Amino acid sequence: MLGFIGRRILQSVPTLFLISALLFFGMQMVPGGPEQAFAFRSGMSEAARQSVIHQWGLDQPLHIQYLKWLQSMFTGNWQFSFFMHRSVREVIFQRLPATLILMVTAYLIAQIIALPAGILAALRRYSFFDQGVTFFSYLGYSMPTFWLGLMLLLLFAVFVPILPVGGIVNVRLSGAPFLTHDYNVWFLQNPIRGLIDLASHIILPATTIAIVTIAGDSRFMRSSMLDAIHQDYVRTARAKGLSERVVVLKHALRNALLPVVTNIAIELPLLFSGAVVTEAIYSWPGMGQLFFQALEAFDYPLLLGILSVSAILIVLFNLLADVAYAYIDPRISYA
Amino acid sequence: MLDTRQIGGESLGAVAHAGEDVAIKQFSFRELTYRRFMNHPTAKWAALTLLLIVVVCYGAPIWHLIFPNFIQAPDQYSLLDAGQGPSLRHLLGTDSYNGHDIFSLILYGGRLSLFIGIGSMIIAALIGVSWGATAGYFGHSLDAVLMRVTDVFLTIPALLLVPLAARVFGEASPWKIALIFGLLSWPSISRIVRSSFLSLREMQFAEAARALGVPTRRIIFRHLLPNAVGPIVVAFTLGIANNIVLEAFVSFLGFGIQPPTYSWGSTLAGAQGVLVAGNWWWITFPGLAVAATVLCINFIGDGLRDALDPKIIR
Repeated sequence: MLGFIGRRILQSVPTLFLISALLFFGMQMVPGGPEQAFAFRSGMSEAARQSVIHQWGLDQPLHIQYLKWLQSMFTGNWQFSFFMHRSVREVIFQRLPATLILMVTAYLIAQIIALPAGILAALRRYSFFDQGVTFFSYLGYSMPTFWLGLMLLLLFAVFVPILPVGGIVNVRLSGAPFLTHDYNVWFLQNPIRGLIDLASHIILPATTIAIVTIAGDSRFMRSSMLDAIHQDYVRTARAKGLSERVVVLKHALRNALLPVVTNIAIELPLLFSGAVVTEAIYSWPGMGQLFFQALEAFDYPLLLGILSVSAILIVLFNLLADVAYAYIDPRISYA
Repeated sequence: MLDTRQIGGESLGAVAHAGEDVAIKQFSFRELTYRRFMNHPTAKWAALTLLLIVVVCYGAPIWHLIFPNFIQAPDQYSLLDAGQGPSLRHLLGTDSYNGHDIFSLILYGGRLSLFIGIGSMIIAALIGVSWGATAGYFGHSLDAVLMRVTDVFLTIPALLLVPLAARVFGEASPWKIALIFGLLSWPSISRIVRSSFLSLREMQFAEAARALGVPTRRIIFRHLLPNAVGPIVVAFTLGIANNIVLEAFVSFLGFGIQPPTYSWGSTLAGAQGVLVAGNWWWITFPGLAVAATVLCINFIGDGLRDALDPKIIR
C-alpha cells in the first residue's frame, strides 16, 4: 500500500512540474508580456520604467525568472502581486475563506439531495420519480451555469426582491467589508444578525452551484447503483432469502458507493472552477472574482498563483481519490 | 417483406418468412446503430429538434429576405427601439443599448455558436485520436510521456485557460475561438482512444494483422480505430455541447466573441448590467437557445452511447 502511494506521488511530480512550466512560459506568450501591465501607468518616464522592470527582475533571462518563481512557490510568498500590492500568497489566503464557505455549503446541500435521489431512482427504475430525476438532471446539466445564476437573480432579487443581488455581506449592516478586522469585531458582537446576513447572501449562489452538481451527481449515483443491483452477488443475496433492506443497504449500496466516493474526491477541486462562474455573476469576493480581477489588470504573478493552486489541488485530489479507491476496495491490488 | 420493426437491440439479423423462402437479412453495424438510435425514446426527437435549430439559424439571411420586418441583420438596428419588451414588432424584445432585435440576434448568433462548438471538436478529435492512438498502440515509455502531457492539459481547468489564451491570440474571431477550444478539448478524447487501444491491440485480430505484415499505420486506422469509434463519437457529441456553453460564458464576460460580431454568448454581453432594471427578455431568450441546443445534443449523445454499446444498462 505504501509503495502504491509512493509511486502515485512520484508520478504526480513530473505532472506538476510540466504544469508549472506550461503556465509560466505560456504566460510569457501573452502579447506585451508582463511589461504590458506597467504600460497603462501613463506618465512613466523611460528611466522609471527601466527601474521598475529591473526591480521586478523582468530583465533577467526567462529560465532564471522561472526558477526564481518556482523557488518562491516552494519557500516564499509566491511572488508579489503588482495589482494588489501584497504577496500573492497573502492575497489568495485572504480570498480563500469566501470561496470555501460557498463551495462547502453548496456541495453539502447538493450531496444530501443527489445521493438519496440517485439511489431511489435506481431502485424504482422507470417509475415516475426516476423519470423526474432524469429529466431534472438533463435540464440542470444542459443549462449554462452563469445563465442559471442570472435567472435565479432575476427571479429572487429583481422580480421578487427578497434576496440581495450580490456580494457576501451587507456592508451597511456591519460598516466594514467581509473578514476585515472591524467586520470580525462586529460579527462577534452580533453573531445571529451576522449569520442571517451571510445566509441571505449565500442562498442564490449556493443554489446555483448545487443545482448543477445535483444534476451530474444524482445521475452518477443512479447508474452506479443500477450497476450494483444487476450484479450476481446481489442476486445471490436475494436467493439466500435476505430481506430486501439488507440486500439493498449492505450488498448493493456499499458497492455502489465506491465509485461515487472517488468521483466526489475528483470533483471537489473542479468545484473551484464552478465557483469561478458563479462568483463572477454574484460578485462573490472569492478566488473566482480574484481571478477575473487579476485577468483584467493582467497581474500575471497573481494569475500564476491562482492557476497553480488550482492545478495542485486537482492533482492532490486525484491522488487522494486513487488511494481512497485502492483502500476501500479490497479487489484492487496495489502491485 | 422484411418486418424491420421487430428488430431489437440484441438481434443481429431478422428472419422473414415469405412463402417457403427463408431469408436472413444481416444488418451492418451502421444499420444496427441507426435502428437502435431511432428506437431510443428521446434521441430521435432531440436529433430532429437540433436539425430544426440548425436550419433555422443557418437560414437567417434567407428569413431576413422573406420577413424583413421580423428578422433584421445584425447591422440593422435602431436606437429608438432600445430596451423594448417582447412585442409583435420585436418578437423577443430588443437589447437596452443599441436596439438590436433579440430574436434576429439569436438566429444570426446561433450560426457562430454552432460553428464554434462543432469546429472546435473536429480539431479536438483530430489531435485527440492521433495522440491517444499513438500512446495506446505503442505503449511503454512513449505512452507514459504522451499521457503526462495529457494529464497536464486535463489538470488546468479550461475555464481559466480560455480567457488567457484568447489574449494570446489577440482580437477574437470565431476561427480563433474554435481553435483555442479545440486545443483545450482534445485531452479527454485522447484518453478514451488510448484506453480502447490498450485493450484492442492485444486482441487476436490485431495480432493476426501484425502476423500478416499489415503496415502499422493501416492496423491503427483500418483495424483498431473502427472498433474504438463508439466512445469517440459520444465524447465528440458531448464536447460540442460543452464548448457551446463555454463559448457563451467566455463571450458573456467579454473575453471571447465580441459585438458587433454576434454569437449566443456575445448577444448576452452587457445584459447583466440592465438585469436589475427588469429587462428579463434580453438575458432569458439567448440563454434558452443555448440550453435547448445543449439539451438536444446531450440527448443525442446519450442515444448514441446506447446505440453504439448495446450492453449498457440504462
